[in-house]
Amino acid sequence: MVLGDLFIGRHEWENVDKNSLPKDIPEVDEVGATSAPLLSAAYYIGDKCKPYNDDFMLCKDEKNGGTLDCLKEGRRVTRCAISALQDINKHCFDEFKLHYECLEQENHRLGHCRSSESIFRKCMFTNLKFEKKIPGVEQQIHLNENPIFQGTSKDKSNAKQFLKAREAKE
Amino acid sequence: MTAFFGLAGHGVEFIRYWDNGWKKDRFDLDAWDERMMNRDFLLTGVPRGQSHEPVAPEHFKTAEVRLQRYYTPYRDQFFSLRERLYRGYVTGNWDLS
Repeated sequence: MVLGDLFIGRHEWENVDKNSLPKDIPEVDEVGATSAPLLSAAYYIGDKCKPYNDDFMLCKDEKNGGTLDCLKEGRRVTRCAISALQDINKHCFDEFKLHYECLEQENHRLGHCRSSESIFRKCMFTNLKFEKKIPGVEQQIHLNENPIFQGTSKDKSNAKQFLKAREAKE
Repeated sequence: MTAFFGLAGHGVEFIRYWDNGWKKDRFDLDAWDERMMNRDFLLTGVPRGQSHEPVAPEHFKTAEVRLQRYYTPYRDQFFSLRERLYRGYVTGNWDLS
Protein backbone atom coordinates (compact mmCIF):
# COMPACT_ATOMS: atom_id res chain seq x y z
CA MET A 1 0.00 0.00 0.00
CA VAL A 2 1.37 3.32 -1.06
CA LEU A 3 1.15 6.37 1.08
CA GLY A 4 -1.31 8.00 -1.28
CA ASP A 5 -3.85 5.22 -0.76
CA LEU A 6 -4.15 6.17 2.87
CA PHE A 7 -5.30 9.63 2.00
CA ILE A 8 -9.00 9.57 1.27
CA GLY A 9 -9.00 12.85 -0.60
CA ARG A 10 -7.03 11.18 -3.39
CA HIS A 11 -8.91 7.91 -3.34
CA GLU A 12 -10.88 7.77 -6.59
CA TRP A 13 -12.30 4.87 -8.52
CA GLU A 14 -14.47 4.25 -11.54
CA ASN A 15 -17.92 2.89 -10.94
CA VAL A 16 -18.87 0.83 -13.99
CA ASP A 17 -22.26 -0.82 -14.11
CA LYS A 18 -21.74 -4.47 -15.07
CA ASN A 19 -25.41 -5.47 -14.94
CA SER A 20 -26.90 -6.05 -18.38
CA LEU A 21 -30.52 -5.68 -19.39
CA PRO A 22 -32.82 -8.66 -18.82
CA LYS A 23 -33.39 -10.98 -21.79
CA ASP A 24 -37.02 -10.05 -22.35
CA ILE A 25 -36.14 -6.50 -23.36
CA PRO A 26 -35.17 -6.45 -27.03
CA GLU A 27 -31.94 -4.85 -28.20
CA VAL A 28 -31.92 -1.51 -29.96
CA ASP A 29 -29.08 0.35 -31.64
CA GLU A 30 -28.14 3.58 -29.92
CA VAL A 31 -27.85 6.89 -31.75
CA GLY A 32 -24.19 7.36 -32.57
CA ALA A 33 -24.17 11.01 -33.63
CA THR A 34 -22.58 13.42 -31.21
CA SER A 35 -23.86 16.78 -30.01
CA ALA A 36 -23.07 19.05 -32.96
CA PRO A 37 -24.48 16.76 -35.69
CA LEU A 38 -27.53 16.13 -33.52
CA LEU A 39 -28.12 19.84 -33.11
CA SER A 40 -27.70 20.36 -36.82
CA ALA A 41 -30.15 17.56 -37.61
CA ALA A 42 -32.53 18.41 -34.77
CA TYR A 43 -35.23 20.12 -36.83
CA TYR A 44 -35.34 17.32 -39.36
CA ILE A 45 -35.47 14.67 -36.65
CA GLY A 46 -38.20 16.62 -34.88
CA ASP A 47 -40.18 16.91 -38.09
CA LYS A 48 -39.80 13.33 -39.22
CA CYS A 49 -40.21 11.67 -35.82
CA LYS A 50 -42.97 13.87 -34.45
CA PRO A 51 -45.55 11.06 -34.04
CA TYR A 52 -43.08 8.78 -32.25
CA ASN A 53 -41.79 11.54 -30.01
CA ASP A 54 -45.30 12.67 -29.10
CA ASP A 55 -46.26 9.09 -28.41
CA PHE A 56 -43.28 8.69 -26.11
CA MET A 57 -44.03 11.87 -24.20
CA LEU A 58 -47.69 10.88 -23.88
CA CYS A 59 -46.63 7.54 -22.48
CA LYS A 60 -44.34 9.28 -19.98
CA ASP A 61 -47.22 11.50 -18.97
CA GLU A 62 -49.68 8.67 -18.54
CA LYS A 63 -47.34 6.32 -16.71
CA ASN A 64 -46.14 9.03 -14.35
CA GLY A 65 -42.72 9.20 -15.98
CA GLY A 66 -42.35 5.42 -15.90
CA THR A 67 -38.98 4.34 -17.22
CA LEU A 68 -39.78 0.66 -17.65
CA ASP A 69 -43.28 1.23 -18.99
CA CYS A 70 -42.20 3.30 -21.98
CA LEU A 71 -39.30 1.21 -23.28
CA LYS A 72 -41.21 0.21 -26.40
CA GLU A 73 -42.00 3.82 -27.31
CA GLY A 74 -38.43 4.81 -26.48
CA ARG A 75 -37.03 2.22 -28.86
CA ARG A 76 -39.24 3.63 -31.60
CA VAL A 77 -37.90 7.13 -30.93
CA THR A 78 -34.32 5.87 -31.12
CA ARG A 79 -34.89 3.95 -34.33
CA CYS A 80 -36.61 6.91 -35.94
CA ALA A 81 -33.75 9.27 -35.02
CA ILE A 82 -31.27 6.81 -36.50
CA SER A 83 -33.23 6.58 -39.73
CA ALA A 84 -33.43 10.39 -39.96
CA LEU A 85 -29.66 10.64 -39.53
CA GLN A 86 -29.16 7.98 -42.17
CA ASP A 87 -31.34 10.00 -44.55
CA ILE A 88 -29.25 13.12 -44.00
CA ASN A 89 -25.98 11.23 -44.36
CA LYS A 90 -27.19 9.70 -47.59
CA HIS A 91 -28.52 12.81 -49.30
CA CYS A 92 -26.85 15.89 -47.80
CA PHE A 93 -23.66 14.63 -46.24
CA ASP A 94 -21.28 17.41 -47.32
CA GLU A 95 -23.67 20.21 -46.39
CA PHE A 96 -24.42 18.51 -43.08
CA LYS A 97 -20.75 18.27 -42.32
CA LEU A 98 -20.17 21.90 -43.25
CA HIS A 99 -22.90 23.00 -40.88
CA TYR A 100 -22.02 20.87 -37.88
CA GLU A 101 -18.35 21.71 -38.13
CA CYS A 102 -19.27 25.37 -38.08
CA LEU A 103 -21.47 24.74 -35.02
CA GLU A 104 -18.61 22.99 -33.29
CA GLN A 105 -16.34 25.98 -33.92
CA GLU A 106 -18.94 28.53 -32.88
CA ASN A 107 -19.91 27.12 -29.47
CA HIS A 108 -23.03 25.46 -30.94
CA ARG A 109 -24.73 28.78 -31.59
CA LEU A 110 -27.08 28.42 -34.52
CA GLY A 111 -27.13 32.16 -35.10
CA HIS A 112 -23.43 32.20 -35.94
CA CYS A 113 -23.69 29.59 -38.68
CA ARG A 114 -26.49 30.92 -40.87
CA SER A 115 -24.50 30.85 -44.12
CA SER A 116 -23.67 27.18 -43.93
CA GLU A 117 -27.12 26.50 -42.53
CA SER A 118 -28.78 28.05 -45.58
CA ILE A 119 -26.74 25.75 -47.83
CA PHE A 120 -27.75 22.80 -45.68
CA ARG A 121 -31.40 23.84 -45.71
CA LYS A 122 -31.38 24.20 -49.49
CA CYS A 123 -30.00 20.69 -49.86
CA MET A 124 -32.56 19.30 -47.42
CA PHE A 125 -35.35 20.96 -49.36
CA THR A 126 -34.28 19.68 -52.75
CA ASN A 127 -33.46 16.14 -51.65
CA LEU A 128 -35.69 15.37 -48.69
CA LYS A 129 -38.50 17.90 -49.21
CA PHE A 130 -37.92 19.24 -45.73
CA GLU A 131 -38.37 22.85 -44.79
CA LYS A 132 -37.08 24.02 -41.42
CA LYS A 133 -39.83 25.52 -39.33
CA ILE A 134 -39.37 26.66 -35.75
CA PRO A 135 -42.57 25.64 -33.98
CA GLY A 136 -44.59 28.05 -31.91
CA VAL A 137 -43.09 31.33 -33.11
CA GLU A 138 -44.23 33.92 -35.61
CA GLN A 139 -40.86 35.07 -36.95
CA GLN A 140 -38.69 32.36 -38.42
CA ILE A 141 -35.34 33.71 -37.31
CA HIS A 142 -33.26 31.65 -39.76
CA LEU A 143 -34.97 33.41 -42.68
CA ASN A 144 -33.83 36.84 -41.53
CA GLU A 145 -31.49 38.10 -44.24
CA ASN A 146 -29.71 40.74 -42.20
CA PRO A 147 -29.61 39.92 -38.49
CA ILE A 148 -27.82 42.20 -36.04
CA PHE A 149 -25.50 39.57 -34.56
CA GLN A 150 -23.95 37.43 -37.26
CA GLY A 151 -20.93 36.06 -35.48
CA THR A 152 -17.56 35.85 -37.19
CA SER A 153 -17.01 36.02 -40.91
CA LYS A 154 -15.38 32.60 -40.82
CA ASP A 155 -18.69 30.88 -41.47
CA LYS A 156 -19.40 33.05 -44.49
CA SER A 157 -16.01 32.45 -46.03
CA ASN A 158 -16.29 28.71 -45.37
CA ALA A 159 -19.70 28.63 -47.04
CA LYS A 160 -18.39 30.59 -50.01
CA GLN A 161 -15.42 28.26 -50.33
CA PHE A 162 -17.74 25.26 -50.17
CA LEU A 163 -19.92 26.61 -52.97
CA LYS A 164 -16.88 27.42 -55.10
CA ALA A 165 -15.45 23.94 -54.61
CA ARG A 166 -18.75 22.38 -55.57
CA GLU A 167 -19.01 24.53 -58.69
CA ALA A 168 -15.49 23.54 -59.68
CA LYS A 169 -16.39 19.88 -59.29
CA GLU A 170 -19.43 20.15 -61.55
CA MET B 1 5.22 45.77 -22.40
CA THR B 2 2.26 45.86 -24.78
CA ALA B 3 3.98 43.33 -26.98
CA PHE B 4 4.44 40.95 -24.07
CA PHE B 5 0.78 41.23 -23.09
CA GLY B 6 -0.15 40.51 -26.68
CA LEU B 7 2.19 37.54 -26.86
CA ALA B 8 0.80 36.09 -23.63
CA GLY B 9 -2.81 36.53 -24.68
CA HIS B 10 -2.49 35.16 -28.18
CA GLY B 11 -0.18 32.42 -26.96
CA VAL B 12 -2.73 31.16 -24.45
CA GLU B 13 -5.43 31.45 -27.09
CA PHE B 14 -3.39 29.41 -29.53
CA ILE B 15 -2.54 26.73 -26.98
CA ARG B 16 -6.18 26.36 -25.97
CA TYR B 17 -7.20 26.18 -29.62
CA TRP B 18 -4.64 23.44 -30.23
CA ASP B 19 -5.60 21.59 -27.06
CA ASN B 20 -9.23 21.53 -28.15
CA GLY B 21 -8.27 19.71 -31.33
CA TRP B 22 -8.08 22.88 -33.49
CA LYS B 23 -11.43 24.08 -32.30
CA LYS B 24 -12.49 27.15 -30.40
CA ASP B 25 -13.27 26.90 -26.70
CA ARG B 26 -16.74 26.02 -25.56
CA PHE B 27 -18.07 28.45 -23.00
CA ASP B 28 -21.27 29.32 -21.16
CA LEU B 29 -22.04 25.64 -20.70
CA ASP B 30 -25.07 24.41 -18.80
CA ALA B 31 -25.74 20.95 -17.38
CA TRP B 32 -27.12 19.75 -20.71
CA ASP B 33 -23.99 20.82 -22.58
CA GLU B 34 -21.76 19.12 -20.02
CA ARG B 35 -23.76 15.96 -20.30
CA MET B 36 -23.67 15.98 -24.08
CA MET B 37 -19.92 16.57 -24.03
CA ASN B 38 -19.49 13.56 -21.74
CA ARG B 39 -21.60 11.54 -24.16
CA ASP B 40 -19.45 12.75 -27.05
CA PHE B 41 -16.39 11.60 -25.19
CA LEU B 42 -17.84 8.13 -24.67
CA LEU B 43 -18.73 7.92 -28.36
CA THR B 44 -15.52 9.19 -29.90
CA GLY B 45 -12.90 8.57 -27.25
CA VAL B 46 -11.34 12.01 -27.57
CA PRO B 47 -12.38 15.25 -25.92
CA ARG B 48 -14.18 17.56 -28.37
CA GLY B 49 -14.48 14.76 -30.90
CA GLN B 50 -17.54 14.69 -33.18
CA SER B 51 -19.04 11.87 -35.17
CA HIS B 52 -21.90 11.75 -37.66
CA GLU B 53 -22.43 7.99 -37.54
CA PRO B 54 -26.13 7.23 -37.13
CA VAL B 55 -25.55 4.00 -35.19
CA ALA B 56 -23.35 3.97 -32.11
CA PRO B 57 -20.64 1.33 -31.66
CA GLU B 58 -21.62 -1.72 -29.62
CA HIS B 59 -19.62 -0.79 -26.55
CA PHE B 60 -21.51 2.48 -26.21
CA LYS B 61 -24.63 0.63 -25.03
CA THR B 62 -23.06 -0.17 -21.68
CA ALA B 63 -20.67 2.74 -21.47
CA GLU B 64 -21.47 4.55 -18.28
CA VAL B 65 -18.48 5.65 -16.27
CA ARG B 66 -18.89 7.74 -13.18
CA LEU B 67 -15.97 8.95 -11.21
CA GLN B 68 -16.59 8.49 -7.49
CA ARG B 69 -14.68 9.60 -4.46
CA TYR B 70 -15.27 9.93 -0.76
CA TYR B 71 -16.30 13.26 0.63
CA THR B 72 -13.62 15.05 2.55
CA PRO B 73 -13.46 18.66 3.60
CA TYR B 74 -9.68 18.57 3.19
CA ARG B 75 -9.51 17.71 -0.52
CA ASP B 76 -6.22 18.71 -2.13
CA GLN B 77 -5.05 20.52 0.94
CA PHE B 78 -2.30 18.26 2.28
CA PHE B 79 0.73 17.67 0.17
CA SER B 80 3.69 17.14 2.39
CA LEU B 81 4.79 14.06 4.27
CA ARG B 82 5.10 16.19 7.35
CA GLU B 83 1.43 17.11 7.07
CA ARG B 84 0.43 13.45 6.86
CA LEU B 85 2.66 12.55 9.76
CA TYR B 86 1.09 15.32 11.78
CA ARG B 87 -2.42 14.04 11.00
CA GLY B 88 -1.38 10.52 11.93
CA TYR B 89 -2.18 8.91 8.58
CA VAL B 90 1.20 7.21 8.37
CA THR B 91 1.12 5.42 11.68
CA GLY B 92 -2.57 4.56 11.69
CA ASN B 93 -3.71 1.20 10.34
CA TRP B 94 -6.52 2.48 8.12
CA ASP B 95 -8.18 0.35 5.49
CA LEU B 96 -9.98 2.66 3.11
CA SER B 97 -10.74 0.17 0.36
